[in-house]
Order: sequence, then C-alpha cells, then structure tokens
Amino acid sequence: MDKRKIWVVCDAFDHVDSFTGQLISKAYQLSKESNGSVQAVFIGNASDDELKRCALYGADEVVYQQCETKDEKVWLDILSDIYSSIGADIIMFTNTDFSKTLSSLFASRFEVGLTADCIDICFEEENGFVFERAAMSDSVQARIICINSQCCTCTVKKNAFVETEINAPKELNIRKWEYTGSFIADPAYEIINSVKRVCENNTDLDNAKIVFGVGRGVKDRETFDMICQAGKKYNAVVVGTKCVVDDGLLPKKLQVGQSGCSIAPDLYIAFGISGANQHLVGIRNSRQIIAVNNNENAPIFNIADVKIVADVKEFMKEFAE
Amino acid sequence: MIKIVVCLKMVPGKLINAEAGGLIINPYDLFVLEKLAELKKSSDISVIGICMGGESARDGLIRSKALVCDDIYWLNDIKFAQADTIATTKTLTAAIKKYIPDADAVICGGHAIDGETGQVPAELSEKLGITYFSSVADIESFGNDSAVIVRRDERQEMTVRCRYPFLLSVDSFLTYASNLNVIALKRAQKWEYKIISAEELGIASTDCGASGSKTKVINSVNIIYKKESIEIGGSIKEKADHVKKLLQQ
Repeated sequence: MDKRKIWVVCDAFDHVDSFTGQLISKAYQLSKESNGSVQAVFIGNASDDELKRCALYGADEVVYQQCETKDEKVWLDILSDIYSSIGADIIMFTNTDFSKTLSSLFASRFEVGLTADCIDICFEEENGFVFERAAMSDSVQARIICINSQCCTCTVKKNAFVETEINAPKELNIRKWEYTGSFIADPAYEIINSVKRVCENNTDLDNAKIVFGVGRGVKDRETFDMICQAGKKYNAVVVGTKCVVDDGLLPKKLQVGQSGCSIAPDLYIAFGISGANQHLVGIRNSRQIIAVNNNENAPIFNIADVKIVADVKEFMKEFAE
Repeated sequence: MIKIVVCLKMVPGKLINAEAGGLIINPYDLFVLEKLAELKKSSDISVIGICMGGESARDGLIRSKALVCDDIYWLNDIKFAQADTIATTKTLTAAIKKYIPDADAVICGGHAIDGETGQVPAELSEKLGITYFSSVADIESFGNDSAVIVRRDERQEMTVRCRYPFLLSVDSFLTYASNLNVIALKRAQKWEYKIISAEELGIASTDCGASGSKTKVINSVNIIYKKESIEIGGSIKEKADHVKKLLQQ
C-alpha cells in the first residue's frame, strides 16, 4: 500500500518558524502512527537552506512554489494545482487569519472535511485521522472524523503541539513546483486609506516563561492591579479567561483557551480560575501549574501541580508584599 | 437598488446570559443587521435575510425582520439538521442562487458563538464565486457599483472600496439591538415567514444536513489528564511565601 500523504501547508514568507515546526513535528508523529510520509508544501519566498530545515522536524519532502504575492485566491489556485496532481490524505494548516481563509476556500472547492482550531490529531486503524477540539457547551473535547471525503483537512492552534527536532534527520528532497497559472491577485478593491495600528501590547506570549492567568474569581480592579504589578516584578505575562476578556479587563490577544490562544510556559499561575474546559485546553502544555482558588473543589485543581485554597484578594495582599 | 443578503444564525441565548433560554441572533450577525438598519436610512438598499434553522429560530427571525429585513428565507427542514460547514455552505449557496441570484453583496457574521469555526463565510464565497473580504470591522456606505468598508487586523486598519458582488465576513459584534422598536416588532410578528424545505429548494438530501457533511463528531472525551497535586496548607502568608519561593527558582 502506498504511504499516506501527510501535508503541512506552510507560508514561506514566515520562514520555518516555530508554528511551522510544531505542525511538521506533529505530522512526523502521525506518519509513524499511520505509515505515512510528511510533505511540507511551501508557497511564498524562501531559500533552499531555509527550506531544508524542515528535515529537522521530520519532513520527508518539501514541495515549493515561489510566489511573490500573498493573496488567498492565488495561493488557493496554486494549492489546488499541487493537490490535483499529487494528492494528499491529510492536510494541516496553521490557524492564522490567512491560513483559515485559505483552508476554508480549499475545503469548499474540493468539498472535503475541515476541522477548525484542532488541539490534537491522532491516527486510529478504525477511524483514520481523528481531530480533537473543545466542544463549545460541554466540558469535554469533541473527536471529529472526516466522512465521504477524499482527504481530511484541519487548521491547528498555535502551541497545541510541541516543536521537536528528530534524532537523525534525513537528506531532504526539495521539489520545485512550476505553477503555470496567474500570480496576479484580482483587483476587485481599492484602498482608500490605511492606518498602521499602534500595538498596545507587545508582550511575547509565545516565549513567556512565566504566565499569570486571571479568572472570574478576581472580582475587583484592585486585585487585578495587584496581579499585574506582581506580573511586572516576576517578568510574567498576565492573561485571562474568556469572561475576563469579554469584560474588557484584558485585550482579546491575551485570551487563553479554545477561542483564544494556547500557551506552554514553564510556570502558569491561575488566579481565581475555576477551570472550565474551554480554558484548560489552552494551558495543558504548561510545565508546572499553580492554582489559587477559594473553592477547594474547583476543576482547575485537577490539573494543577500545586493547589492553594485561598481567597485571591487575601492571597494577593500577602503575595504582592 | 442594492440587494444585500445577510446570513443569519440563531445561537443558544445562554451563551450570552446564563439565565436566558431559547435562541438569539448570533451577536456578529446582529451587528450586521443593526449596521444595515442605520445605513438603510440614507441609502437605497434592500436587505434579505437567509437562515437555516428549525422552529426555535422564529423569534430571532421576527427580530431580524423588525430591525431591517425586507424579506426572509427560512430554510427549515429536518433534512438540514446537523450540517457541518460544507453542508451548510451548499445549502446556503443553493438558496442564494435560486432566490437571490442577483445579490450585490452577501454579508456574514465572522463566526457563530456556538460553533466558533468561522469557516462558512470563506467557503460560501468560493461556492458563489465572488470576492471575499475577511476581518471586516465596519461598513461605511453602499454606492451604485461598490461599497466602502473598514478592514482591521492586528497590524493595520484599512478603508477599502470594493466592487460588487462580494462577500463580507464581519468581526464586530453586538449583544443588544438599539434600533429595535415595538411597532416594528408587532408588525414583524404578523408577517408570514416563508418556510423552505429541502425539496422546494431542490437540494439532494445527500448534499445537506448530516448526510451532506464531510465531518462527523464520533464521540466526546476528556483529554485533560488529572494530575496529583500537592496542597499547600498553613496561613495565607505561608501560602504566598511558598509561591514566591517557586517563582525564584
């Protein structure tokens, strides 16, 4: 039987960044489970040396199409061309806005199954590839498969997987694709005015070693400010659960959970977070978790390494000393 | 007259308000309706709502009608149930092509707060073969051959003039409609909502609902593994000191 083709669609403008590494690492793991081969499909502009770095994470082949335009429709046509020619069993996309659009256009064009924002993927003899994402209203993860679908596609949440270098990287074959279609984006619009947005928050959440999480148990501004101050002192990034972000205490980009980002710090301290599954999926890769909550039965304690039953405000008064 | 189609989804009210029952208009779709109600006062537009949903969607449709919709197509058939994004896209495409083939603009909320996939808008644009604009923060005006919209991402905000036909995915939301008035609501209650079945739409049952879906939830599991945790006892001060010590390591 032919090897299963596992694709990772990569943005060559981003180089082989950590997100790309995470996807290829997962693809490599899936290739071992499913007797597959890993193909990293790059569109954009990158050097051979750069592309060869994919081997470090276990890619078997790179398919590369040089393209100066970054336009979803142009990329869709390129991707369709490659897919129609060599085929794939599973295609993994990152979940950047661009990739989400590209994957949706692709799934619609080929009428294949697409699962959004996966937090895990596995291969089972009985079910084939299985995608996991939080089920919205329940405290559980939904396991999703593709049916009546020529191939399975998904977008993956950042930091859902760990970037892992393999022991003995193989010599990587770079296949230069020669797309003969148009590289010109359809000019159906005209820019009247463009303003750069001032980034209010330059925190580098992906590389943060220490992260403080704020939940609904933080009831007043004073406590919140104490947590932020302590965060500065210990060089920790302060993030929040969905309800804290909805309340406007923190910006959306600092929301952690299924509908926000996933993080993997060395230490995560959860202040007044009850531990809805929605949030837990975003912090489960943290190396160590300390939870402070006044409810000793809060679900957050199930995944905490260190359990502290205390009122957050009282605790912070001492902690901020 | 500029013809605008708005895709509407009804979602559980409890997602916004823990005490609320029933279904409400998805907050992203509500923003679109409210915006169109405002723009309708000064521009020559007609707004057509399209919604896939069962009887429980009625209340949300009445509100949509009262707010701004001139007409509503209610795709209501058990055959449409449990559709994934591909089956939903095919059903909406069939309805738009059959009933509003001359639509100038199709507008969708960026995502529904119950599913959170955000895939349908782009998928729909591909099936309809029209230009797609994502990350739309606002709609400024509708002209004769183009509209002016504001797109916003983390890096920039752009005001863009786009030519019809197009599809917008709008990322702004509202939880409360301020343009809704009682008289309009009463009138909307008496209006006759057209219910469209799969047969009437002319879509094969293998193209919609669960049978037309390309994904399927097989089961649900808990993948959050329980850890053995160490509980720190003592006074508040002792607890705080323990954490400080861990942080210094």
